[in-house]
Amino acid sequence: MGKAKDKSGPLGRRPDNSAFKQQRLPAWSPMLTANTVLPFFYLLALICMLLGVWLLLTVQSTQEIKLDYTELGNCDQCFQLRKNVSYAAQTCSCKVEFSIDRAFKGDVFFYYGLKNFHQNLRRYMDSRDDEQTLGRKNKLKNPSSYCEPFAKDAGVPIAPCGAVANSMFNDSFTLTYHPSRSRTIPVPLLRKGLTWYTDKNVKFRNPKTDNLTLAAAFEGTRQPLYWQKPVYDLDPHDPTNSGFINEDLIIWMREAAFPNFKKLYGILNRADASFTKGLPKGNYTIDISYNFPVQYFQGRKEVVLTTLTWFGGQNHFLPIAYLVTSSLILLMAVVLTLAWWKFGKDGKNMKE
Amino acid sequence: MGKEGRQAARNSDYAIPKFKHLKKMLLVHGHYYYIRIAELVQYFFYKNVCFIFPQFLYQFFCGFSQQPLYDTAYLTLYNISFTSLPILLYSLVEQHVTIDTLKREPSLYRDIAKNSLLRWPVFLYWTCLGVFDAVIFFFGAYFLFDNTTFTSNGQLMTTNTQMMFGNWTFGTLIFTVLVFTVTLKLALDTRHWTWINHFVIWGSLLFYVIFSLLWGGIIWPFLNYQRMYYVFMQMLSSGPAWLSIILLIIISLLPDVIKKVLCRAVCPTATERAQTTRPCLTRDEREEQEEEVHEKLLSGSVAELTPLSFRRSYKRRNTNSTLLHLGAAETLSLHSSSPLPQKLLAHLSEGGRSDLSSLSPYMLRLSGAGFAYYAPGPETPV
Repeated sequence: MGKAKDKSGPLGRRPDNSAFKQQRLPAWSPMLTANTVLPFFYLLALICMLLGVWLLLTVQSTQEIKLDYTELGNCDQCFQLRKNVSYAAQTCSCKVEFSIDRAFKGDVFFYYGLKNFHQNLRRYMDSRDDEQTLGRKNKLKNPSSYCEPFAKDAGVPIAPCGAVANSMFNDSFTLTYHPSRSRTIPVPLLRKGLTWYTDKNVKFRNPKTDNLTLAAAFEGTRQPLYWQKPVYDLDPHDPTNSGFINEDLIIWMREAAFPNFKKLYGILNRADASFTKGLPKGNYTIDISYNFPVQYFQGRKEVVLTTLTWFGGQNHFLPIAYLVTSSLILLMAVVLTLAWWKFGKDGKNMKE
Repeated sequence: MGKEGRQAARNSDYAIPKFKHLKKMLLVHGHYYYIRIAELVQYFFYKNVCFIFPQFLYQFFCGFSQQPLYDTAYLTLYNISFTSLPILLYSLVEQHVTIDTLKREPSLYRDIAKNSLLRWPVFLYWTCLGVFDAVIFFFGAYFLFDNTTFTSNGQLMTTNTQMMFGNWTFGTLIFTVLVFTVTLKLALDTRHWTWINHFVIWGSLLFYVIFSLLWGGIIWPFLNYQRMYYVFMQMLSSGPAWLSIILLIIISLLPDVIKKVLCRAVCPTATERAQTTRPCLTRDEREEQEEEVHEKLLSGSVAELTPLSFRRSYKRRNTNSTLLHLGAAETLSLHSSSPLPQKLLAHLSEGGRSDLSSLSPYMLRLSGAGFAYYAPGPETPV
């Protein structure tokens, strides 16, 4: 209060007579009365109902099929084999059969799913080096300490380092269609174009090659301990899908939020003549190269085939939530109308 | 002021030179201060409950490993930039009832008497609202993400047709719903919208969006993690994400709106009634109204309006500003649904004066009932 002012005299230390200081700012005072709120509630209920119905119809048109193949059929032998770490180098493959009653129309997406695998554990999520996967040369040979104990293998730096990359899912699948007992048609799956554009082109970059081969660019590093192939060999057929920019690696490195999750493996290649409209109905087989052991964490592995709409896969939550919300709002609007009718109409309660 | 006066002024919380200032200081500024402080305290607890409870719930799903749900930048800036300014400006400029109404109807002070807005029931209500909102945010997003491909396959984006959403997208979705819900909750509570309120409320939301776009927009050179890169944009480019954000905000805000409207319709408080727009009466009009009601009384209807019987006698007295008299204010405010406390009724029927006897010129102590009344004398220009 002791600010020196130009004014003098007994009223010199008064606060300014401005609108702000005298709290006389022009203002709008809305009122949450029944007249304003009720029409809004009815409108909102109507909109939510329409949205809910539309979303429900959209979701109904998707189809999904899930197969838990951890111990299914002859995958059980592979499951038993993988229980023993010393046989890790041995390959094991198994076959899983299923059939589709209704043709899957449109794009079909092939996912692998894991249950009870906590990719959202704190130490696990910290155990990665984003600068290394950005392609920075200084980080390639010198991974961050967050990656410990998966940073160096007997003194040689690991690329890509960290627990996230180390535990990459390495089962592979081949889908075949059996239109009749004798014929088999392999189902082509697109294994590229699965990731975010920014992930593939900005966030994950191979170290600069300068006319060297990819293997030479990774000179001086070693593959992660649990991997069967070095990172530059992840896709021997396609150099743009090898190294850090391998799509399976990128998809795996985006940690899932929950212990039960699905990750994209491939998309049906509809350029093939037999599958232009989607997956026809009939019998199918999946040949699985079974590598990923899940018994350590009591997990399960599954394969999911699904069609999608703009809205996503078979998820009934949002349409049902919208319908429930709209009915709740409608109910409250009716209750409020009754309350207003009985108590507050003509502003009865507001006058004497 | 004199030597002793100055000492008294230095020791007091508030010092005023003239008695006429007491009226506005107590009825207007005191009332505003209380409303603002009560809202500030309750709102702070509420928004932090909404902030932290989803993180707590997340621990059940991440193996209790203390994995934060939101990125560290969001954790730091939530209480500093995203939600601090709106409540700050609310508690500087909010006027739930106009200054003139407060001066004219001192019985409105009764609505905040006995610390009524900071009592346990009110605090529990705010906390339960916070917990409810947090549960809605978390489980709403959970059921969207869980066990499904949360993707967008729209015609808008032909190349990115199946974006996989991970942990940070989930957290960012919850955080977005959170910031918008708590800010809109404050917007619903604000009754006096000056340009400042508009600026800080919409500005805070805009700042959140712009910050998120910037934070996730480039590969920051000095960071060793790039986990938020493009997460916000990918989340916004998905149709289901938008729909769920809107739905979750609506569901979170619904209970409070319904409670407000129902209470206003069924049992409005005196303050709420004073908030309805009513033309300001001149003194003659007021006297006319008082005559009418007094006649109604004499024909024997409502017993609790005993104060009115004293109005006649007080009306013509000169206001002695050194003593506070009991007088009824506007007749309208007396029809409050909350009954007058028994003690005061007894006082009124005795025709006794208020027990605010120890009234020193500079400090005011309120009686146990916590009321202050003023006689309806000539309107003092304070």
